Amino acid sequence: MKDYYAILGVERTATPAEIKKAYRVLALKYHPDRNLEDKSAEARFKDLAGAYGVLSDAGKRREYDEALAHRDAPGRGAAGAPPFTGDDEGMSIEDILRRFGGVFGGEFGERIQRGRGAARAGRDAEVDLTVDFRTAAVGGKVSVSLSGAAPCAKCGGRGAVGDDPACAPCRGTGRVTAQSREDGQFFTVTRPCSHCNGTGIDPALACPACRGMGTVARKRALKISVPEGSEDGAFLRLAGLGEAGAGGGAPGDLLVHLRVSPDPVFHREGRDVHAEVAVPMAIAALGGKAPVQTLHGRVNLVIPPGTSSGVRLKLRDRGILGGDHIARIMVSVPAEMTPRQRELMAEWMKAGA
Amino acid sequence: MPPYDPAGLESEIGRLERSYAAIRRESPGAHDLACRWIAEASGLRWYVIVADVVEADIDVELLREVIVVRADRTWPEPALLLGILPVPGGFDPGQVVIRFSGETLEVRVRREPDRRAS
Repeated sequence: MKDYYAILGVERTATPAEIKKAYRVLALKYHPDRNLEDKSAEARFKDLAGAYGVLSDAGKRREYDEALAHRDAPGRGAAGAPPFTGDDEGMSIEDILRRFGGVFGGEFGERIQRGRGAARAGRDAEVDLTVDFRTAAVGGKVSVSLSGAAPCAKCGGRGAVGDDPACAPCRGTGRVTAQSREDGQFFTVTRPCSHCNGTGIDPALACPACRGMGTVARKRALKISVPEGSEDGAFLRLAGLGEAGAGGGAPGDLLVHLRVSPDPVFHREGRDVHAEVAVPMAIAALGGKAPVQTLHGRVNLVIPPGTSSGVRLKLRDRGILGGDHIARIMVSVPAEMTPRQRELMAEWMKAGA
Repeated sequence: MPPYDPAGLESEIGRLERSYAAIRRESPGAHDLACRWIAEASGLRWYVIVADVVEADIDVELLREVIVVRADRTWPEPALLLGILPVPGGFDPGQVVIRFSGETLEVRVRREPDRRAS
């Protein structure tokens, strides 16, 4: 009785997935198509298939394990073990490939891609959007115009006119898959069906407006909600607002690349908004109130007596998303003074300013 | 002349990656494959690391602007591995040479003849 575990190079406790992986790796190595001149490889390939045939079948594996345990039990020899009859000795290479060919990724040669239909998700559209500082800070709606694939109005996105429009060579999938066998390589390559150009629609029944694609290029206008607190360079992903899918596929998303133009008054640091505020000299010296424009409206800022230029005063919750408004005081000196103001100023200096 | 300078090519590849993210959303549990590219005079060469996968479980799908690599991994745990390889304009996704060696899938995409450097 052959040791199938040793043939596949796995432990007796190996899981079905481990057994399958070991079989694939070794079977590809000793595949007859790769070893045309080597007859011993064919024998090894048959051994591998025999081992896999038993160990991949839960019932046969149990029966085999029992026979193996009986054989290996102390005091018993191979002669005393019950015969194991569940193997597939004598199968031809053709039988093996027919039976286990699926393990290599499907039948060899060209085949139809069955896993996926002709439906294709639409591409994600992308647009650069520049908004002003205040809209980005407090949020708002902005109009954009973009072009891209939209459902064909003539066929309703179906891509076809008439019944049963499926392309015969690809059976409506739009794809043809072939096993690459160049240089002993065994992966599969999927290409658009050359008959229908990947649409999955019989060219004779394709919608003339969209040529079977189900989509046409069209310009459209959208209103985009810019969320409060949006930052320069941010991406907004708007689900389902991208290009229409082909063959009934879901639409893509719209990616909005946000640019925030600088503001002449405000600039942000995190959630705080900074701005300069001009305060008359007398109010700065004696204290009082000065009007301040914030993102959320005008407020009167209390200026303490003796406030100098450069002092920062905070207005709580007047920034972005609960941040603060930081007012940087700039004391303004009058460019022109009346004779009386000049007199008072001179007096103030004499008093020891 | 090459259709792109390196920075332009990188930017275009990034744009196509974002544009075709819908392919990734079609397979929500898929693991991303590590993909790297180099540009050459004759074309674009992609290297995709496909570990713990046998080549029979690799499917390379050629589309107009991207090449999609799907691989079924069965060990250590079953997983679908997915890589999206952008093919910017000026390169022909119908003209590819694919090699699998070790754990690396190499996909060479030729330049379209009318854009080839003289």
